[in-house]
Amino acid sequence: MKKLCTVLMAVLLAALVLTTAMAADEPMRMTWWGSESSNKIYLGVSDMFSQELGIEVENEYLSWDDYWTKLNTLAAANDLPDSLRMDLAYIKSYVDKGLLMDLTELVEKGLIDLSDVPESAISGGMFDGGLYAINAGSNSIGMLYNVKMITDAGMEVPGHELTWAEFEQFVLDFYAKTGIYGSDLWGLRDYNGTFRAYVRSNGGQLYNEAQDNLGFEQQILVDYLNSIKRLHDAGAVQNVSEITVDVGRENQPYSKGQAASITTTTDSGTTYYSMVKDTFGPSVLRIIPGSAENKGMWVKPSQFMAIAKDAEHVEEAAAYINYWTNSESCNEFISGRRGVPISNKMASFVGSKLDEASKMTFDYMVEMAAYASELYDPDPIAHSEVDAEFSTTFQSVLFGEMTPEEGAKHFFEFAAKVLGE
Amino acid sequence: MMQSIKPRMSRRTIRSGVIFHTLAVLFGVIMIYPLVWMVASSLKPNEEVFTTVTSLIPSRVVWHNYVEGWQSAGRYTYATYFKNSFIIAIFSTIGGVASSSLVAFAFARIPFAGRKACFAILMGTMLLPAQVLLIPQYIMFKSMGWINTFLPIIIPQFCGVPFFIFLNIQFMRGVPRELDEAAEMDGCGWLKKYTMILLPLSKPSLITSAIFAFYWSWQEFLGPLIYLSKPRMYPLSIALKMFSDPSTQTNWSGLFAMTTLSIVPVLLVFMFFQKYLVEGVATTGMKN
Amino acid sequence: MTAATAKKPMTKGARLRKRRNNLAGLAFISPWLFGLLVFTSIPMLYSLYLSFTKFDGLGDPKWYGLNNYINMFQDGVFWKSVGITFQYVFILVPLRLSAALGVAMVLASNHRGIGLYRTVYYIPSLLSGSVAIAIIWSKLFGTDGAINGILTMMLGRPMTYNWVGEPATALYSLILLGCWHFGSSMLIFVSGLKQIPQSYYEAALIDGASPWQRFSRITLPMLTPVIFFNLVMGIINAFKAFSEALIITDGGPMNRTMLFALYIYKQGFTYFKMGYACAMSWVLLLIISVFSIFVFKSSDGWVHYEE
Repeated sequence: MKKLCTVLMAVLLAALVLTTAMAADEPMRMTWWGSESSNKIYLGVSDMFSQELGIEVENEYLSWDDYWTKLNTLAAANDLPDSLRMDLAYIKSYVDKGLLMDLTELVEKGLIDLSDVPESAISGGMFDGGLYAINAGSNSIGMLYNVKMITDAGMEVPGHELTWAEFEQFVLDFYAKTGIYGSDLWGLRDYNGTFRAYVRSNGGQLYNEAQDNLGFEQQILVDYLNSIKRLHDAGAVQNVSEITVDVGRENQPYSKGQAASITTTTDSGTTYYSMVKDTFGPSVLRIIPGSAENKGMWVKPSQFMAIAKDAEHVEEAAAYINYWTNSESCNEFISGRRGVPISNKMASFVGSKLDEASKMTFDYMVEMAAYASELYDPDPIAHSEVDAEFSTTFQSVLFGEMTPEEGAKHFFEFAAKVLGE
Repeated sequence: MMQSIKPRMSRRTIRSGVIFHTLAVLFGVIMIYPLVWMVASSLKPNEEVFTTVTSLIPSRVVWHNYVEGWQSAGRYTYATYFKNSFIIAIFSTIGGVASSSLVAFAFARIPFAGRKACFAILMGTMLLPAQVLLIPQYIMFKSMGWINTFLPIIIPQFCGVPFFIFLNIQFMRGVPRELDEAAEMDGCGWLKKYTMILLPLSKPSLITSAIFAFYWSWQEFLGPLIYLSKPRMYPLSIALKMFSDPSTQTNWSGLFAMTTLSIVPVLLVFMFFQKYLVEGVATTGMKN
Repeated sequence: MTAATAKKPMTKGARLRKRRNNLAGLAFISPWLFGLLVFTSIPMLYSLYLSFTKFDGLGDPKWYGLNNYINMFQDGVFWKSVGITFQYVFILVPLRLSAALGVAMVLASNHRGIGLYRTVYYIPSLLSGSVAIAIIWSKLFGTDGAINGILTMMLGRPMTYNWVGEPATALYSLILLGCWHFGSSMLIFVSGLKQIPQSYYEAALIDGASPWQRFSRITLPMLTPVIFFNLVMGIINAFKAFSEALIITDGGPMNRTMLFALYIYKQGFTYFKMGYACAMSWVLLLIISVFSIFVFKSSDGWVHYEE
């Protein structure tokens, strides 16, 4: 009996080893992050790409957090996949470490055709004169308002040129009239989006040019925290204890018809739109309140596609980027679900084929361009740590452990230390 | 006299039995409530999951959540992920339990030189958080050509798992020494002593190890995440995480449906093995 | 054995036996030894090296001397997380251990349906690592969750306290979650109880020992090796716990659930300070070692082995 077991184990192990050794010619590896809905898009594109161009693709995908844990490990071991998706939050570190390929030559050779792409859409992927990523889709942020709830309350849906003070009043008024939150605290805590727009419209940037400290006055943060605190203490937004645990979009007041507005990226804007439309009515996107001042808004690359420095399948990976950028069948299939296509030709081609939610987003992107100025520099590596501390500070102020002044002071000290390292 | 005692005794046992079962059931309900909640939610329409939080009864039972969830994670269905989890869990369990018992025997019984130092190292290896070892381990397994195979996840289990080694040591040290000595009189060597006496007598700890080994490798996440790149090799633990994405809507009822399915095998393994924990080990017969 | 080894100048037979023991020991531990040398020691030593470097996980590690260790002392969140972790360990471990032991004792009896109860009590442990538990727990203890529902019924006034989200109770909700997972320790106790030879109880019954005497003279001492095991592993695992805090509270609110191991994970993988994370890991190793050694030393006094 025991002998039999040993033999059995040996055979099984041998089989395991053999299957390993059999891996021969590997097809092009491409990776992305995403869940059910985005996986469907990427897999669909991969299939069409393989079919039309006869290039085999090995698809690798993970959820957002896991994607970066994995990619960073692969990077450390010098084992990156051929084609990979990058995010503005990480791309600079990857470029600085020499992990990504300069695509300039591939563009010159015509492997990636950018002739229909405006310069402004390319510059997001440029670092120190090299082109390290092609942005295949752009997005922005905005304030999403529930039109029906607001008009039902006998109020007017705010326009783009609402000031922050007016927004604060809107939230308070809406709450006073309906007993429903005027805005969603989830969005107001967002350092990356809402607060960045607030800072920019007040003439600053999150980080200074050298990126060794914050790039705005402490008073700006004090004012912001004071404003949020007034909304919070009046009960016009949900209690801060509700935003310490992330329980998904479906649980946010806006999704449940319990808030009249929320800050969102345009990508998620379509999600929210579809989520509440049938039950609570249509939504509309406006720029972040106050951002008309100083052109505080921006258009951000949301779909960076890069090729690893040591990629084995360079031409195939380039063909993939080109396919995403210029193929009609590809863009028709995606139909704007990954942001506005960068090629002018594709953007107008897709524009006519959109569903209601995507159309709202597309229209918004056109309107908000008037209030947008140059994109901010990619964030420093310490950004995520500063972001986390912002969240902590924000909570501390609303829980009443710190005054807005103390909170701002604490945050500035922390940021100076971390960024200065 | 005998007759008068008997009914009284049984009345007492009945009463204590009733009290026991009432308390046990009550406690059980508390323990299992979150699970029931999950199963109930897996049968609700997705939009209802968070609007009727305290209700355990779906307005209509949506079995379709299971069908949809089954097909949700990319190109492969959950059949693939279940298969991969089974491969990983079965091999890891066999390897982990067998080798740990073997190693534990040496620590528990054989007075070899360096035993104390080895034991200290054994305990020491349990103290570092796994996450800081990821990068060096990845580089190492890559140089061995083991990336994109189950080997980096399974093979180390065959070298013994500190937790199970320590567990088995503790159980073996509880086995009366008289039995060893009796065996020694009969001229048994270490191997005989292990196979004839300690192995059968440490059945409870072997079963416990098997239950844990199966569950842990079933839900093991970091290893598969780092070592496996091809979605067709993903185990359940990775597939389940793909339900949640910060940028889009989450199919909660699908997530709950698949989580429910994913614990069925571990539950069956538990129920199968725990049967053997009902009767105590009889050592009386072996003394002779 | 006793007579042979007691003689001072070693006889030939004793020397031979000693050599045989060494060889046998080596043979039996060889799988582990192999794994230690090949799979474990290299990554561990490398992480020790990394702890003296500045390493963002992407480029090459740069020598950083003792700076990581020095920085720890000035890191407010580090100290906070140490305090929180101690709180977590010292509340959770005794609670979970006594719950597990108590239930195991009750379930060791031979009532009908024991297997079913055991299964039911063990089931929560099967959910410990899943994504679903995050949402289940925060819903259970959330504003409109079942806990508040029950409290509302009992107190007769509406309760909307967010137990997971409020800084005062967030950590305790995680501790409660840990207790809810007492099933695995329970299982080890149950098998420990099953290991106690029936003959001991039979002998005690013949001597007319009362149930309490049987418990205190046989069950408890015979169970001490297993209690010891659960105590040591409970401490080690509680110090290393992080996945539940990661998926449920992500360290918040205001770092009130920033367990040490979670902070290590964040430093390493979110903030790209792998060198710092390694340094903190070795400090964690030291801390756990101190407690483990203390428990091991104390074990001479209370753990009963069959010798």
